[in-house]
Amino acid sequence: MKEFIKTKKVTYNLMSFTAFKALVLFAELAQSPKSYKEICDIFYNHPYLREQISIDTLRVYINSLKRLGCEVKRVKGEDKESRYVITKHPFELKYTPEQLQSALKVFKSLVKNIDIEELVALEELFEKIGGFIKDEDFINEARKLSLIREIDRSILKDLIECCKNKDQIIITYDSPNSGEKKIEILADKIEISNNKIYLYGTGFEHKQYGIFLVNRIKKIDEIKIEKSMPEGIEETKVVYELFCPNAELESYEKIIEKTDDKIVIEALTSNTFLLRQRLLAYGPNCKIISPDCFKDEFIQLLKDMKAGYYCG
Amino acid sequence: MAKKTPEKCNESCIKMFEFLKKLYVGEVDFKWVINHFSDGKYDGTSNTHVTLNKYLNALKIFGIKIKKTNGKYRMLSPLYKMKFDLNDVKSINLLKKGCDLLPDGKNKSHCQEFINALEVRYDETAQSLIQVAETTQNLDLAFYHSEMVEQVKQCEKYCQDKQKLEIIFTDDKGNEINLLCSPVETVYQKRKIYLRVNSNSGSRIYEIPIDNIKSVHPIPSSVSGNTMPTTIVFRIKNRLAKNYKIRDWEKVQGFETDGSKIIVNKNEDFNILLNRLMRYGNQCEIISPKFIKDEMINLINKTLSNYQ
Repeated sequence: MKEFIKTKKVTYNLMSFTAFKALVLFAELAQSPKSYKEICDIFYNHPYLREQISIDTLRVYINSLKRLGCEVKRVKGEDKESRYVITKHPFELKYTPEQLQSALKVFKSLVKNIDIEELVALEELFEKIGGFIKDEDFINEARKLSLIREIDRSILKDLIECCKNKDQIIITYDSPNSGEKKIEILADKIEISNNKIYLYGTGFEHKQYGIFLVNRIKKIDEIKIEKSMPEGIEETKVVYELFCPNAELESYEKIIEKTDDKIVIEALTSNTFLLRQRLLAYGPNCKIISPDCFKDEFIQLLKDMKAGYYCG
Repeated sequence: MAKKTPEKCNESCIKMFEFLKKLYVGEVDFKWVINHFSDGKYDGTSNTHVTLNKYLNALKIFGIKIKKTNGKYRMLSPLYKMKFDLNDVKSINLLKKGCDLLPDGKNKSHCQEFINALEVRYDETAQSLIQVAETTQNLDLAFYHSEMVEQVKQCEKYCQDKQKLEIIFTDDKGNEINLLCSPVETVYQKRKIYLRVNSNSGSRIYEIPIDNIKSVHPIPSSVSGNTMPTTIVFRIKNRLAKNYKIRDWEKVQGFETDGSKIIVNKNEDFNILLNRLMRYGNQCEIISPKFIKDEMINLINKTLSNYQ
């Protein structure tokens, strides 16, 4: 071998030419159909072989490949010449149903833990594998488990890019209340919440931070070259106590006081509706301190909820 | 009828390809290789070593890299390759991390085989991307599980064993709860792992964060397959009715004239469900069962009591 590395000259002492020819033949026929003449030329022009091959020897090689499990077919092209081609071979990707099920189990455990970009890539990998093994059921099973099954993937990928660049975009949104309409947003992030995928961003129409269901976004109409912030955004500062010490905070929340049994949080937001929803979910573990208007609305909402149960 | 003569083959070629086939599945023991190439007649004195070297050299010159370490052959660059880009390689790494958390057993080994079958077919580009993928991975499951990997594996095992458990865990406020239950599965959500269990009666689902579990004692009684989880029915109104996305474990039972929807929910942890329904404010109302409706009213009253 050392001699070969030095001289690049192959001798019978160095390697098995039979094995080498079989490898060359396999690679050539797996790539595309080849006639006997074309195979002879390839062998003759090969830097290490430099000899032709008899038709009988070729048959022996082909029989060997067939015995191994290769599907070798003879096809005729437009030139009426007969060519050999390998259509299936034992080195292709193959899985047992158990292996596929185990992979799907791990896929299921990952889909709710990874970020949206990773989710798209993982789903595409499973589709690619499904394509290699020609198993539509496997692709469908993975899709069923995926959170992005109802979403146009190309729109999603574009939105991910827009969020990375914090682009100012105009989207066509199919609103359940007002039908299709154009919305201008400063894209911020895409996140999965309650098994749904949302685009977060500051809307120009309502001048507040909002969330938009990605499966309702029909298209991105425009990505503006220059960015601006909507004027006149009104932000509310809300202070509240949380009695569950392990609460996970959002980017607009900060801890201003911490004791053994509670944390005091200050949130600055332009969308009090979203904050109210968030605080409602804490139930008795949350008490709003200020501002009074927000607190009063919150109490009134709780009273309305209660009344709904007694009057409904 | 004349007997068909077997077609002439080259046995040594077949041997070499069979060796390659075995390398696609994993590492191959030297003993197996030398026996394979000597038709099981290797006695230490024959020249099978020389023959084997010639085959290995043929593979090497052809471009198939095979490495021998600790008496085992491993294929580094295969005969048949598949194209994978950076995202694919990253996703395969993610699968590996998820697979590492599985308890030892059939599931884990099947998953490892699944991943190995991909890695062994990496083309040159994919091989060169391995390092890049590792340094740019966003998800590091170890962030959360480095100290808990054993608990996670143990929980997976409880689910596999289908044995009843007595679990002591703490709730949000740190109160200890003692629960007799049947394990169902481990659930991964927002980078947290939960053990999903059925209450002893089978009517209530709990999703317990694994880091809240204080102790688990298996009970010598196996899980019954005939459990009937409680069905919760609730009404959603106004905007919410238009926007609401039905979960996989829910169905719409009916519509009302004002546009409200009646939703039937099964198999969701009651506490998680109640917190979720609280979010919807007065646009949502639990209809049945009565005890869940009462729990919801109690939750609203307790929240209101913060302001009295």
